[in-house]
Amino acid sequence: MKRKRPVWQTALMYIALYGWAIIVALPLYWTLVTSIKSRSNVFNGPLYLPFIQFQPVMDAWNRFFITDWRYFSSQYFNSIIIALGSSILAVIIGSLASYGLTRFKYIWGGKLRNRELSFYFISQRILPPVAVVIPLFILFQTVKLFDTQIGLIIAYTAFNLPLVVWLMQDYFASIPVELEESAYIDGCSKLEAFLRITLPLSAPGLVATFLFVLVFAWNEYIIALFLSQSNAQTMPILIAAQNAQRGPEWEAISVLTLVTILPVCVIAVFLERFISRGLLVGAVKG
Amino acid sequence: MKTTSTNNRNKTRSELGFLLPALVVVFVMSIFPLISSLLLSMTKSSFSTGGGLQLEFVGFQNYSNLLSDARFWGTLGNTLLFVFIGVALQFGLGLGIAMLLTQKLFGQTFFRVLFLIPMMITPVAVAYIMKMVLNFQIGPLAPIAKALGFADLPWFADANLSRLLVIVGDTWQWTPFVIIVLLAGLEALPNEPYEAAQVEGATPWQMFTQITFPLLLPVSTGVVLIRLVEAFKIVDMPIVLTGGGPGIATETTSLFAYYTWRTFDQSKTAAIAYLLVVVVTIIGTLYNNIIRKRALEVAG
Amino acid sequence: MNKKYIAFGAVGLLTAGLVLGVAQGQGAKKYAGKTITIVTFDGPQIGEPLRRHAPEFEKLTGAKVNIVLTTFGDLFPRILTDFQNANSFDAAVFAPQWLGDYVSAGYLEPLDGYIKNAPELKWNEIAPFFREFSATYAGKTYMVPFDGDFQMVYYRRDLWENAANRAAFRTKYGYQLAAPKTWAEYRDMAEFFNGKTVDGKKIYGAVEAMTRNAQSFWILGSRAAAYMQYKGTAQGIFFDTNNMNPLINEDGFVRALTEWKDIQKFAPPNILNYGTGEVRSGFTKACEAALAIDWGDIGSLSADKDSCIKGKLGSTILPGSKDYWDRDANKWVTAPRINYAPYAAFGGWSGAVNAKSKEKQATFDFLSFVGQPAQSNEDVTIGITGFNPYRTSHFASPDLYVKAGMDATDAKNYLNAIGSSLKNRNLVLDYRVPGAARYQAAMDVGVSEALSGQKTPKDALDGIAAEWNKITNELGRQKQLNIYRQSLKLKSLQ
Repeated sequence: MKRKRPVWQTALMYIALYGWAIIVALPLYWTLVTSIKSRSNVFNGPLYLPFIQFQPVMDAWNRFFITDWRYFSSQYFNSIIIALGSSILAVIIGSLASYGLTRFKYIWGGKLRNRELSFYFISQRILPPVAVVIPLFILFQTVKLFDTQIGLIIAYTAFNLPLVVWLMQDYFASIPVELEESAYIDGCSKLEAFLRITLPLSAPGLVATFLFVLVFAWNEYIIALFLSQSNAQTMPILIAAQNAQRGPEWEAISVLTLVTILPVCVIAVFLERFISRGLLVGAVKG
Repeated sequence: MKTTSTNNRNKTRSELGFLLPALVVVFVMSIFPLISSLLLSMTKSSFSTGGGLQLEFVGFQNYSNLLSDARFWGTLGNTLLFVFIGVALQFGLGLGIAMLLTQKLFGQTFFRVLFLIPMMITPVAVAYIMKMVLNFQIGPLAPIAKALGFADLPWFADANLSRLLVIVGDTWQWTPFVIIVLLAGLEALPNEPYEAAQVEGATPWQMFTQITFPLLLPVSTGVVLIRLVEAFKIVDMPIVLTGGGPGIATETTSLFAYYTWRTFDQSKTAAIAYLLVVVVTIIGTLYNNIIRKRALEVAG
Repeated sequence: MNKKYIAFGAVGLLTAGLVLGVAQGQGAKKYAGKTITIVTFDGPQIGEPLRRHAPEFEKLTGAKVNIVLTTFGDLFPRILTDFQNANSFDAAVFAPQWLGDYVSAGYLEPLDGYIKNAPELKWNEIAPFFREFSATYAGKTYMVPFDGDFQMVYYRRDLWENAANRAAFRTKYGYQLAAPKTWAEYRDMAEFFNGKTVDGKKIYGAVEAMTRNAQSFWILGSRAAAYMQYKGTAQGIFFDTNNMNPLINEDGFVRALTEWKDIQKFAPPNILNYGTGEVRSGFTKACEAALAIDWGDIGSLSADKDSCIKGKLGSTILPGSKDYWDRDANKWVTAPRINYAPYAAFGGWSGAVNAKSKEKQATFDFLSFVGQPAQSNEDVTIGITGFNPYRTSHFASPDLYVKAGMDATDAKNYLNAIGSSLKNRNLVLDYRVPGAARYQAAMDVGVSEALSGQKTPKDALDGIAAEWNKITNELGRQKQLNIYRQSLKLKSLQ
């Protein structure tokens, strides 16, 4: 790939890359400027530039951080605790299972093999969530986990496990078995070999998978709607409620969107180097 | 359960130990809801006077009603359209952009993070953002739309134009997922084939068609499968952008299930969901056994 | 506003405190240690006033009040699921339309006794329609109204008063430009103003909620009401009171839907993507149209600080018709005078107590607290509450509205429109049978098919009627019929 590229090709590449950058950035920019518009400016045609085309106001931001902070804050922290907690759990339990499925052969009743087992995990994501929320609601009521952070953490762990198993499986497969075998010779148990050899090697994959499930847990709506009430409500419920019956509050929606992207973005920036390497992950060989 | 890798009892136990926690969690959490919604799909529910919800077993009646309902087939058609066009678009764009991102162009570190953002936003919020942006009267594209004359097209009256909006929104949201996965795949490709090809004087296009694309096939087909399964569940984008209208032109089967659920017709909701599961399973299996198997063979 | 608010709050606290104190013969903290949980929708309307009043009530009684908020679309299944399985909600604030489902399942506590013991609620000041129809079901009262929901027409008073416009209109249409009295006039006016330039901006004729998954079915009801109902509330417009056959595909509805589709010519190009939210913002924030159909909200929203319509707002009762559809004789009949039939679409947010609540009295007291004049007189003047006038005290004087920021003439005009709607004995009741949400969902699709031109209005309405029949048959025709008749206060047929 060292060959000198013709200038026109390079130019085209830049046009394409920056073109897509604009496509991605414009809606985000629009969300940002909308969040500092007054209601009438939102509805008075396209205004792009604060201070020049319109006078920015902080009303929507004030509403989030000042007026209604006491409601938002608990939902915000709930979201953080539940998303982090469930993602960590899912990654731990899921990568263990995933490792098992990659390295060992399981047979059950002569029929159930690894392939079926991993399909069993994957198939959990096919059913639309509306079909299961009401039974889940009843289940959680019965075991007294309804409207608790623990309850949602358990639910999200279960719902994200298949993703982890799926993604990590192929990543583990790409790590040479020889490394672990030499560890066995040194007297390591399977778990020790996994923890000391395989896990560190797959750290980037773990991190990337973690980010994936974090995003899913962070953004989940319908299960949160049914399994939480006042103590464990999360942010997506708040966002979904904004456009309902009596008017699209675009400025408020924009603020909420931005504050919800923020934590995941910070994590993403922090983990960026792992993402590009780590997503080799299972994604990879599928 | 036993394992064949070793006959040692302790080892068996430790190997099982890896799998068991996940199996238990998923099983416990899913088995009750799965069975109860399957049963629910074979009942009819009504409120008896003063007695709360009553369920009556009706066998496959909900299913046969749905299969003779034009709305069900209409929404299934829409879903397939969104899934196939949307996923194809996302894959094409995603592959192109992922390739660009490996070209060491100026600003690409920044772009790698920027391009990720859309998929990090709560799906319903992405839909709201798209609704603002795709408003050609007061959104950011209004001047361009007016200049090019598409601002006043019947975007929300014409079935295909509305569908286009949903596909655009969905593509904006999910192309990043494809980009990141393919990018990771591209970076993992070995260098040797390229070096050999260079010696033979292959053009970049030849390198792409004969090396990159085949080598990337496992990743590509993998990501397409993930997107297929997830795309069948599309709800947020149509519900916010068009509400499923005009008529049912943008109503997906999942959205149909959601609307039905909102009216508390749980039996019908469960039946729709299970029919969708059948469709996804058939398509997923076909895809897995034909396209993906081929792809894996090609890649060796 | 703040000062007044504090004053009101203080008065409210005092009176309520006195009453509670007297009633219980003990200190004000009668519910210390008790917790009640109430679910409603967050728009942020409706949620806002409940959240605001909760701490006041807590201070007053020592109870702890949790307000749980969901989206509008998810509220109905959320409440049902809870009442069915968990009873973690002591009360819910929702649409009287759902009473059919909740009461027939036995989930709600009859409130007649509680109301009798709550003089501070001033029950008899609530407009008769909401007391006798909205809040009651099969002879018992189940709800405390917070909101008076019926639709009205809004217009740009400044344009209507403009001499040049009046002259031009008269020349073109041969009658005086005034608030539209019939739907035909409404159409003419939309046509007349469509494309006119006002304050340097091109405006449209009318804005109405036409998108799916929003409020379009209520607009259709509003437009059909005057064609379908002429004998008073008990006549009803949705079902035949003898056999529960749908009336939705009768000529009155067909005409209404046809006329409605026609209005698109005088509306913004993306009108099919307008819900009530877009209508309100378009009319009060962007001033983009001459006419709008909405609940009472546009009135209070006109007082917002960035409203462009303040001082220019005209309000009027829903237009009527010079003829109506006689469903028995199957023909159009010329009315002796213009037939008005304002439509209590949705029915107004109201609170109901869970029959299995452990704290019924405390829960009722909270609902009563929010509904008392001390609180509601204030709430109905504020746009963000989403509460519209429903008590005689609410439209007795425009002063409160002016204090809340409304223009004096706007307010007078607005209250007149509300008054004439509320006093009308031909108000149309929304359907309140079990499965109301299912009937509505079928209507949502059909209306959209017609408005987008996928089907003719007649075909679309026939489609809705077929769906409705299916639902009715599934839920039991006789049972549905009896409940429908009860909702209209007709005797049950046996």
